[in-house]
Amino acid sequence: MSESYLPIFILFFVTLGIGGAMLGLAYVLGPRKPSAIKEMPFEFGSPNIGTARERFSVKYYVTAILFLVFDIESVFIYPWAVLFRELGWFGFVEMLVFVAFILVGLVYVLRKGALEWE
Amino acid sequence: MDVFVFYAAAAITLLGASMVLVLANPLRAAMALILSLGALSVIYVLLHAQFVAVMQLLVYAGAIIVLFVFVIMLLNLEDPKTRRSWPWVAGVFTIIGGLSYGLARGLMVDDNQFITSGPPHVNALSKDYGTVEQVGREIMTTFVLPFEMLSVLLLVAVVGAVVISKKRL
Repeated sequence: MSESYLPIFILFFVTLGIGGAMLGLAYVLGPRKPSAIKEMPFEFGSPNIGTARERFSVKYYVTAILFLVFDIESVFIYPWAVLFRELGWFGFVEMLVFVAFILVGLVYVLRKGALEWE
Repeated sequence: MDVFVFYAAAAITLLGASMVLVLANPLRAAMALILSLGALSVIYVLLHAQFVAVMQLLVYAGAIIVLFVFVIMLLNLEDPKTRRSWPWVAGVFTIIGGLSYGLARGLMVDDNQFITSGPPHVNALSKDYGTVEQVGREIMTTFVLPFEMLSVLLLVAVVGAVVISKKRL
């Protein structure tokens, strides 16, 4: 069972190895001469204003929620696309209804301007 | 082989989950949750639920964690070093987790078989039980009505998100 997933495991460990090697080698081989200015978070060269822990706008969150909804839509389109020929017109109409409902949501979002960056 | 993979994945899942509880920095906790969810998807593969495993990675480890990170960014958290930590929270959840493990083990019918060869009923299933084709066939035949209802649910989610977040409609 799990033998057929061996390539994914190999890929996972190669990825882990490359990432780890990049960070690890840079840490071991790179010279470090720390100073107070170098330790500062980089903020386009000027002295820092406040901390990085600032409140972010809720706009990002709305975009993420809307993305999640259409992400879940794609989850259902995926098995349907795999079976497209087998299901024939029945599957096509079913998916058309499914997408039409969510399309109403998309039209609502666009009409209300929820995706506009105000 | 499968049993070894199962125990490794289960250990990583639990490690990630306990890191979520213990880590003081909420962003690190969110990253630990990715570790836990990723290892959980390996367990789904072992349970012949390949489709669920892929969706676990795509939707949970991908999109939902992004949502979590946005919530953390919205909350304007102070530096974790200056915050008071509550070690007893981790203790309480450890006790709850231990009790539920004991309960699950008590309910498990054939304990020894599970340890040596994995969950017994899973081994009885055919190899392509949880593939995309099988799941899609079920969705498009047996569960076609719930599938269509789901589009209405998603529509409600879209409208709800817009109504709650927009100051002025």
